[in-house]
Amino acid sequence: MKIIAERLAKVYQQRGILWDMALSQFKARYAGAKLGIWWAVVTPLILAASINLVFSSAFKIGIVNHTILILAGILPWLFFNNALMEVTNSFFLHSCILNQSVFPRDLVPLSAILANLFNFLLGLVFLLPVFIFINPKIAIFLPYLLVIIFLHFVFIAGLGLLFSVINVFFRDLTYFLSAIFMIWFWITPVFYPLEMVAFPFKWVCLFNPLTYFILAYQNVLFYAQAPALSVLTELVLLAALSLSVGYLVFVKNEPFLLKRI
Amino acid sequence: MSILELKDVGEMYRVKFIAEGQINWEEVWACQDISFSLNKGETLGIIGQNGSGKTTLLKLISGMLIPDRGSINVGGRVSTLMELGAGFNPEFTGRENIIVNARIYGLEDSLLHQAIPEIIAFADLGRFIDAPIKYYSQGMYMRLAFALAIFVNPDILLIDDILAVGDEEAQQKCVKKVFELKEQGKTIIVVSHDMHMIRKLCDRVVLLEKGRIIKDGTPLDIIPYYLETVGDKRGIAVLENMGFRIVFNNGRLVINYLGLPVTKGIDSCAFFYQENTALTFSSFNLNWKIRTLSLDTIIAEGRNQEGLVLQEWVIQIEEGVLKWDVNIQGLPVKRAYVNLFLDPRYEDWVGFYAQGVFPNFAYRSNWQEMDLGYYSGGFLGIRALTADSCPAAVITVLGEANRIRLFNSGYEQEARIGQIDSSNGNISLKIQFHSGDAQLKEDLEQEKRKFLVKEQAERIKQQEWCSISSGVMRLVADMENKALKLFYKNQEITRGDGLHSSFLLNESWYNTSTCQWELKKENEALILRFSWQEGNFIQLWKLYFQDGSLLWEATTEASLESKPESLKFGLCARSAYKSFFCGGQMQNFSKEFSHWQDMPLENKFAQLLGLVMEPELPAVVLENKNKLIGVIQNSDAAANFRVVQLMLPPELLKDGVVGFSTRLIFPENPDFINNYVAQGE
Repeated sequence: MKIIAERLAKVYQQRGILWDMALSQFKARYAGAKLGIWWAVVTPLILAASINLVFSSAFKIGIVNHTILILAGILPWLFFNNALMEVTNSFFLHSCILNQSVFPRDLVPLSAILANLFNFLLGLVFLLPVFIFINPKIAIFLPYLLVIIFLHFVFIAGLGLLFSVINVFFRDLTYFLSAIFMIWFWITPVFYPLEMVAFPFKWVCLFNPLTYFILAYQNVLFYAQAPALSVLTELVLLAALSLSVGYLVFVKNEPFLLKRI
Repeated sequence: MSILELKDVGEMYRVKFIAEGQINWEEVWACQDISFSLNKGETLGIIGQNGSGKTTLLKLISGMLIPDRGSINVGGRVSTLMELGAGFNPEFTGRENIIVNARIYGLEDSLLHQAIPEIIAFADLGRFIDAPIKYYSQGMYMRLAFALAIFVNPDILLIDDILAVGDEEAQQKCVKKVFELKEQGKTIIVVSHDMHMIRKLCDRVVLLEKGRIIKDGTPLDIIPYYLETVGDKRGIAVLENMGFRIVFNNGRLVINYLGLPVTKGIDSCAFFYQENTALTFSSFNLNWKIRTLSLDTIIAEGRNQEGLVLQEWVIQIEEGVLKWDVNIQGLPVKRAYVNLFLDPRYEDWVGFYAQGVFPNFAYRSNWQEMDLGYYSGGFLGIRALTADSCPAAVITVLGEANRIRLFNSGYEQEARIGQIDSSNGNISLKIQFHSGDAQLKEDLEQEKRKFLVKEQAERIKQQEWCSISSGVMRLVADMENKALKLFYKNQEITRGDGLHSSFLLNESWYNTSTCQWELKKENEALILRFSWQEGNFIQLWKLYFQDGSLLWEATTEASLESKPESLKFGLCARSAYKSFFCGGQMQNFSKEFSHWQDMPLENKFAQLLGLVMEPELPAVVLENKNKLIGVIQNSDAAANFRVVQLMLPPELLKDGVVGFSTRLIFPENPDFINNYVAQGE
């Protein structure tokens, strides 16, 4: 735990570099694209619309404002998915910087996740009026949203550190993950309410830690409810566990990791 | 005060070996037991062959790698110039890249503001600073990246062989900046293969081999040692005997005498030029193997890719003299030469015809040849200003077709270069060293005498090759002076051009001494071909002795457009001849040589004409069977000779091809002429 605290203190010290790296990655993402940052909004909209089309017309599932429900889940899901896919390869992507300059190596995965957070926030900021327009009560619960986003970020950061380190030693992880995320998407209640799933299949969803984050997002953005204290505690525990494991693995493997890149 | 301290540092890599489908993980130590400390302001060079762990060491110091063993203490901020421009995004402009990367490179926020204009000024990009860097040239890219890394204002600067990137101007600029930082008292660690730069930049050098420091000292101590031992071990031999230390290293030669350097670096090597490929091959590109190594001899052979032996070197120490033979074989060789890179502390030189002082190297990038006067074989003495810097030496060429030339290099190489070249592929030379000036002078005198004797012998040999003789008479073609000389009892009776021909064309006289000569000796006959550029004029001569007389046959070919107006054949003879005869006429020359004058002849078409014999000189008689016009002349004071000629009348010259023949008789009995003249034709 002490090591993690030290590391986090160092990251905080060098937050300038972290910020610069994340910003340059964020900028680089849309550099040269005609629509630019609007892709941060357009992508989730297209996804939500297409999923809605499939489920409402083909499967005749009737939930009020189904599109809004999907949108409330798909935004955090896209953040989770994109960030982890990107961070997994981050040490190879940025190996040249690591060979040029010396700074805390954890900044490499963290900055990749931070860049994706910018992307997520951008999409959220543009779509928030839509949520509020549908259900104005949401506005009251927005502070909760910030807490959830922070915990979600920490959760992803821990997984990101873990994945990025493992990927240096087993490069198969990148390909494995792209398959895993497909399954992960289906077992996460993004486009269906959890209540629709019956046991024993429900266990699968309940064992999926991301379920709790998505439920929390949907709670605030769709149902306009404050998340229960128990839910928040769950989220804090999940985030802390993820970060601890991620950092421990990272610190332990750092000397070997450097030799591989 | 030490700013950097390494203690027993080791770094291990696990390397996957895949051989015959079997995967083996092996531990490879890239660095081992590395311990040294560096003081503030010191400049350290790290040298070693590829794979000796230089870059790993630099990465360990920078913190990019974490040591598996030992500890590293760094007392300051480190900036690295390793992969320049890493982290630059090609889509961003130069300015954006500076700002985005400044903090990653370690530039403090407070400094960034003032550093940006400086970085832009150093990179000298002009408007391109606001263009995406994907449009940059390599030099611009390098300058920008270098500027960014250098303006970080580090305490320790690590440089990894990056100064070899980009155009020369960019390199120069960066190298200059590194020297500036050194002056400012920065601590610098450089990894480079450029020994010239290491020598100039570093106060201290460590030599790495297989991850360990094997030498640590001043550049003057370490670099020569490194250069001597770098390379394929099968191609290295060292000869230490009688004060010599000679290192042969894969087609290069390093010479030391009494602990003093003679050659500079390891650039001394042999080249050869092959005509049919128009390529120059150098000895250090061959695969060398030492064939013999004894106390006083190294014999090495260099093979090409196909395994054909192309060069054989024999280096020998014999009675205190170093002998170096290079034998180029296997391929037809047009020209071969050895470049002996001599230490720049050699100050002056002595040749056979001239002597001089080497100029300094400033502002010169090309080699400059020293004027040795005339080169053909020969020797060369060289001397340093003080005898304790470089030993005085006499370099003597031994090979037959070898000659010696001397150059001064440009400022980059900073060396005196003795070049010994050969037209047949065999180069042979010796070098003798002298501790004192007197000894040097004595040796030079001796070489001078030997050279003279050799030159004379060569001249005689040459004469044999292009001469014919009968009894006491001999005809020699002197190719150098373009004269055909007649000798009687080894005494020349001709003067000037000797046997010659001249013609008048467009109001100018042309002579055999001013044309192209080709000579052939065939069945005791001299065959000469003369060609003049003017009017495509060609003469073919055949000269041979028959019964004591010299037969002279000549053919003249002229082009149709330009025909000579007058054509003469004849000889110039010594002024010792006092009288001439022509037909029934016998007369003395005028005593004074004042101006060119024709002797008045009674019968120009007489059958015989010539010079009357004198004591120790035979008579010279020309037969005139074809009724040509006889001419007898007395020269002016400068030429100081007599001339007997036969002139072809203009009507004979109308055809393009004209024949001429005569017989020269050298009667030793005065009766011959007396009787002839008395007969009165």
